[in-house]
Amino acid sequence: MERKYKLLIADDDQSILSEYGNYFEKQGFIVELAQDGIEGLEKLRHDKEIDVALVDLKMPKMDGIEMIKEAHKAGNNAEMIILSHDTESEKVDAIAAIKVGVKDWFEKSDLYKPKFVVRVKELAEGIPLEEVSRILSVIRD
Amino acid sequence: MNKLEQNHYFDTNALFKYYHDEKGSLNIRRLVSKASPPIIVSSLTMLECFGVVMEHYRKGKLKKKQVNDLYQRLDKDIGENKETNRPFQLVPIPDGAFQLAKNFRVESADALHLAIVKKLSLYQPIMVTSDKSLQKVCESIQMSFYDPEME
Repeated sequence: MERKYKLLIADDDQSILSEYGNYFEKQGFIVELAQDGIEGLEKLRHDKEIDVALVDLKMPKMDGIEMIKEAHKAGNNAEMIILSHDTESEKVDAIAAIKVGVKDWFEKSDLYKPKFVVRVKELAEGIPLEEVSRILSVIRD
Repeated sequence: MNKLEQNHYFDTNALFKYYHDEKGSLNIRRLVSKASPPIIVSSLTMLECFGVVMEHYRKGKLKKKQVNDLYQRLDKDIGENKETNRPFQLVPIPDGAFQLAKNFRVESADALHLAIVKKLSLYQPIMVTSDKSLQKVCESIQMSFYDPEME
């Protein structure tokens, strides 16, 4: 079967959800949307097949860092990417993000930059098959 | 039924062929990408796979990061239910499989793979294996099998 990756987008801005959702569906992803940190956490708790989550840094009820921390506590292994507006993040947020295992950080204006979707796909896939094959040659050759 | 619409069960060797370039890998990868239901692997397949990886780690032939990378990739490729979008579906060892395995005159893990396939009657999977002794038993018990090294 054709491999499809599942992406969660958590953001309290409806226009971001809709724009990002449409864009990533066109890129072949299965997209789940959450309107705040609580809903995002619930989706991650119940769906262990979400490969990558794009998480808004600042959300009501529960912010992005807290949501990611709780999702990991609940045993979810999805790769996490923080989204923020260029003016809202501070150094302290970056340190907190690293501590909770965030894999990357993009500004919301980066959506259409090719490196963004490439990075999301890269994280969804994990190490490429060629690299797996290289590692396994120790066992199989 | 079209062969690609049927369920397939991978023994450990078949799973390794998906991840490592070797004889039969092309057929295995084609099957994984074209088959409509996810390929079935069992807890036994995973246990054997992890066992081999850990044995090489203990001997110092694999580094911790390499082991983590392998496990992470497997984690991303294996789903836990029929509706998964992932290429593989993990099934637990069905009840009664150990009892049934006693009837097959092959090495114990292979006997258990056969018993698991027999017990997964709802799926009616095709056994995918390049192990000749396993194929012989499949023939004798009229179990469908596919040898990825044959074509």
